[in-house]
Amino acid sequence: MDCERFRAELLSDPADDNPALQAHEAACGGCAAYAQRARRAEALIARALRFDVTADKAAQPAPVRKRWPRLVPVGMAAAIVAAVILGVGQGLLRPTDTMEGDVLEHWQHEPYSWVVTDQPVDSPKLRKAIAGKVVLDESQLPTITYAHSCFFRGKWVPHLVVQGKQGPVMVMLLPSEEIGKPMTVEFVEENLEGIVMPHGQGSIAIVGVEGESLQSLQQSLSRAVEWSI
Amino acid sequence: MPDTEAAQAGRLKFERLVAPWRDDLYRFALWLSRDPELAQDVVQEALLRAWRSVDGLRDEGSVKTWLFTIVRREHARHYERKRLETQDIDGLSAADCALIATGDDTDVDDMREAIWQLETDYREPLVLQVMLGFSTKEIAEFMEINPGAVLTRLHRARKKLIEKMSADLVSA
Repeated sequence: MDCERFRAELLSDPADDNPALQAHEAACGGCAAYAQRARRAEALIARALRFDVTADKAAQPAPVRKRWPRLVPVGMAAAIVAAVILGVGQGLLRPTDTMEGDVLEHWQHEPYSWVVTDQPVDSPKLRKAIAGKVVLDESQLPTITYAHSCFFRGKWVPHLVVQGKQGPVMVMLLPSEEIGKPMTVEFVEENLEGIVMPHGQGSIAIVGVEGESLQSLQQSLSRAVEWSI
Repeated sequence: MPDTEAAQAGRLKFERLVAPWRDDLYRFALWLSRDPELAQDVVQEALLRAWRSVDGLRDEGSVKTWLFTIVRREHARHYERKRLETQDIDGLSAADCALIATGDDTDVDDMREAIWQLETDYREPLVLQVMLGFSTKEIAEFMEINPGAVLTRLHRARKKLIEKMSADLVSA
């Protein structure tokens, strides 16, 4: 094997353990040094490709992060990030058997939406998130700072975040999830509480930090939301 | 089994199949598109397509290739739709690459930027091989090119990266 072929094969697949490659590397000082550089590069490539998904997505809504909500421990952000990163492999994000469980699981899945900010979401993003599902009277609601169409229980649904008195509040508009009576949602470890309330043929899930005025938000949402499907 | 139970079982099955790949699907979409917002859209639409066709997945062992193929096709669809839009790709890429910078490891950040700037033909097989562990044969089938072309692209991709990063690699 000549040096040119050695380097070509090495760069095609550095993990290749072909004995001919090993023999050439052992016999050729120049190629041994080249292989060392290639392996350093390979380690960097592997780390560079596997970027932190949560950190990247956190940059997407580009809100002004002022502070974490009151009553939420300062370490919560890191905890959420860790939960999301580790959860996929360890079952934290597995679907649950209940609507309340699925709502909380979804909350865990989009930690980057959970910020205190006074910057409203862009109108086109909001329109895209609710398109075809909801007619929304924004004037009835606190500032909407996040809007995304999310895959939830087999359907695409609008996931909003509004700014409540205590901090961000997740609102999921579920036009196809009919429920008979309100369900309470609690997530004691994260100081979260909420409700899934019936709304026409569907329902609305609201989750905020403990002490949030969910009742007034329920009333506002009842007035603001009309299903269009 | 009543309909609701069947639906629940189907949903659980789908989540079980997808969950291990969720982050890598987004990473793959981002490395393809170099546009974080587009990557999110591509993954969401790909998941919707996957959900609709999950019953057709006969062999759960092939779920990885199945999911990434759907993402690749969905990206191609988006690309076709956006092809006529004029935009400053280089400016967009530089700005978006900064979003995935670690900030605390300049070598990794430099490499990430170098990969970001690779042509798609070189970047894609590299992602498939290094990040997703695809074999040369699998990459060839996935990209619908011959294995020789895969090896050539991988060689050129790494050569470009090593040349660009030569100072960092020598001093490492």
